[in-house]
Amino acid sequence: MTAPVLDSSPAPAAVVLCGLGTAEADTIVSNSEVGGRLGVPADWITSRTGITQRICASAGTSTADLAVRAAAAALESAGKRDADVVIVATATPDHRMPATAPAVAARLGLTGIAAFDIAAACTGLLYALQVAHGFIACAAAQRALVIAVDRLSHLTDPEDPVTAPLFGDGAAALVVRRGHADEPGALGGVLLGADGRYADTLVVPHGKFMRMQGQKVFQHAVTRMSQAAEQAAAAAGWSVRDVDRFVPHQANARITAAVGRRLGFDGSRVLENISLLGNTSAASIPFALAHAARGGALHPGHRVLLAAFGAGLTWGATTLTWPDVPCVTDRPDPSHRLEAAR
Amino acid sequence: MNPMLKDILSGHLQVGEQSLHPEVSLEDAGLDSLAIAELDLLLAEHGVTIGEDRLASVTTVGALAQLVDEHLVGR
Repeated sequence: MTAPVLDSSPAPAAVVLCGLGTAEADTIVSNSEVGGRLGVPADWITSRTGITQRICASAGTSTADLAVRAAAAALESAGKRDADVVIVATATPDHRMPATAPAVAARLGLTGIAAFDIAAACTGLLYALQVAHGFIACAAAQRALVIAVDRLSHLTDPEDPVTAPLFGDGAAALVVRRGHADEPGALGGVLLGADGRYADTLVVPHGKFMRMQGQKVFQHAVTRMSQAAEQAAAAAGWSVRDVDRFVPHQANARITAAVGRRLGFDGSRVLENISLLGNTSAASIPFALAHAARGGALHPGHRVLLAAFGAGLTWGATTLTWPDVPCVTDRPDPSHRLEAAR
Repeated sequence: MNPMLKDILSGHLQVGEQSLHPEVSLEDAGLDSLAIAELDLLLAEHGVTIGEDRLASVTTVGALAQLVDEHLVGR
């Protein structure tokens, strides 16, 4: 693989979604199992988080393993096993050095192109899409492979009732290409923000488990996602009434409900799948999109508003009109597995 | 109870009418720590800035109503 030829076309470039793939972690962990470990009832976890089960990666499954599976699915969805840059958004890289992206790209046969990681926690996908937009806008790339992947369940204290029930593991990948702003799948402006004054509200110190101040994270998440979503919608020329589907980061169903209420969305327009996967961090938004598209809740032409929030603190939002893109996953959807188990 | 607080509790936070009595504990009314965090945001939207730490110090619906009234008087 060789580096792409620089394109000096003066036409303004938009980033257009053309491939979507997901890879769930292997093991489903029930609330009964987590609750039994913590000494709390399973329904306490459900009422507190909206989560009924989470997907967890085994110790032998690396971040790169999950990323490769999702990326291969996204490239299949895009119909072309090619990209000019690979960006991995993760808070759980396999090594402090080197980054995860070069190893992922190599396993996909994409050597010789730019490949690097971005750390913006649960907002990582939107940060990575903005960077991909930069590559495409300056004609350094025609196509970008953006992978959101985290294994946060491995960073939580199994005896901490605040964080142990929350997190699942998984990866989702998007292929975006150079295109035009009026195409389905074209991202609107990506609005990003950060405020490090509150870094200690959600932190994983070196060599230690995650610490989270639940109430403060709740308040910042609700406030920041609401504001960012409003601004991104306004930048697209949309009001809340124009939005067909709102997809917030699946942090906690209580946060999702509070943001939805604050923005004036009725429940049917807010996509939610945290109940089956847990909080899958940077991957949660594309997991929700893929789940909804496969289940018939998201159709081509729907006007979609995305909003994310994560440690940092970081936040972001963007818009797109949903394109006619197949969502490929290399495992059955957990809801299907749940149905099969009943 | 202040009508604004009553609207927030019975509307956004879905506290049942039967729980809107002074002696009912916040826990029995279904107001856990995340609900208190959201209540703090909702009160702030109405110009009542208390802070979730102070809100978390009260344990009953009556004490909550009194705390909100004190802040309204102090504005």
